[in-house]
Amino acid sequence: MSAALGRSRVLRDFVAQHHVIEALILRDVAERIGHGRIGIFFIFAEPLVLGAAITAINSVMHAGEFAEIMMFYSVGYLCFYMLRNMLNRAGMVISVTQNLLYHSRVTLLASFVARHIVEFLISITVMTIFVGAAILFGARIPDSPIKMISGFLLVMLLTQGLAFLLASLVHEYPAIERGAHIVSYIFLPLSGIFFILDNIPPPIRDILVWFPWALAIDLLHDGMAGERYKYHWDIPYILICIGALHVLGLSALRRVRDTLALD
Amino acid sequence: MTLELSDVYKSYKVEGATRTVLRGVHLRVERGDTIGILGRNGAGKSTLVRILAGVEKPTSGAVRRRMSVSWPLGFQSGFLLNSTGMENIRFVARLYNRQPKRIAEFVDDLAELGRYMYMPMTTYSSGMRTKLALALSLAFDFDCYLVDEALAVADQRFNNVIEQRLRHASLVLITHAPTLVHRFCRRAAILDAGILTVHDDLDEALATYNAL
Repeated sequence: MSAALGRSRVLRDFVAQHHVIEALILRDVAERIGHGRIGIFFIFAEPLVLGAAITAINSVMHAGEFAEIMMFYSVGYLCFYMLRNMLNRAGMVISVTQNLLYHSRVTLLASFVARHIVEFLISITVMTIFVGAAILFGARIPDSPIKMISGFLLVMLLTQGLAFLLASLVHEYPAIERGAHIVSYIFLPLSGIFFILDNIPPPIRDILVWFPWALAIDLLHDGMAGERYKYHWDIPYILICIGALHVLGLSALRRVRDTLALD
Repeated sequence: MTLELSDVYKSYKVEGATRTVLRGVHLRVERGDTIGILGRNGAGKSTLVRILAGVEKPTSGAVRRRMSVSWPLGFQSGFLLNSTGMENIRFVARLYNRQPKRIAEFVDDLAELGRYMYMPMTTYSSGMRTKLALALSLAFDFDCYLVDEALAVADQRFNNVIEQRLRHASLVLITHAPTLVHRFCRRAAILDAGILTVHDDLDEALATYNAL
């Protein structure tokens, strides 16, 4: 009896939170679009134009097939784009959500998750456009789209845990807000966004394989390039890191929420 | 169905110093209860209403919420001011899993904001914001309404709806205006320097408050 009650309560809470996240997603999208329909275009225009620019620069700098370069660098750039947006915006999510916390159903967690889902969907949409374009230009069809999407999803989940931590830290010490975006640049060399992990000389690679983002992106590269390289990804290790970051991040967020004074 | 606070303390850290706002508050609101909470500015009224609503946590003490409680209705309660009134209504309707269209019709009809409904809420006067907030909360069927001063804007049309709701629901009205308490409440409590004293006799409460 009590077990059934407990389960129905969990189910009810989940259904309620599902509506909350849905409402927050629509809010976030409306905010990004702003007034006037042209906003929808700009949501996708920014990553599209930047991805194209990165492709252009690299196709001049590196020898090789244009279509392959486009596939590799645009996918890498879109990982970085999502990660950077999640981390750069983390600092302001709490203050932006504060007024909505007047509705006890709205939680800080739901607000973060809604934003992260939107970031994920935008980036994966643009990534699909680039991969499709690269294939049209003659690139090889990715070996395993499932591995690519899984790698990308793992990058998002890792970054989500870090975003909770970063947001709590910025809330506690507002002075660091201006510097918070630096964190995302640390990921440029460490994450393997713009290189294949196996191509890195062993002493450095042996260090990089402890960095879960590098492994998640290695999985994505495996899905993209298949047999052409050797890979080092390790899903249990990545999942443990995601779990650890979420435990730390969620407890930090809870601490913030417990002492948060609404205006 | 009750909403109950027992021995609630709330303090905030301001610039390293601790400021205690509520000191051992006890309150029990039954279904159908209408209770006014009177207090001067700075007595801790808004803090109390936020704790009742469950949007802030007490530093110590317990809150038991065994009925559905509205969000705290005040002058700015929970709106995104850069969005239009209509966008805010739709958002709140979705949040509580209700049909945005029906909620919007109800609010539009009651608050009579006309074309302002489609303008950013930054262009609203505080009276208009409060009307929108009040109409929006009345569109939902809560067991208990928590109102922080917002009733001051209610006209006859609002009063009719409020009276209809209060046939089944409870009201906690937080205000510094005794006339509103007289109009809507059957009992009253006085919050002074973080200590809440509940009076079962309304006239006694109002006399005590006026003597403060």
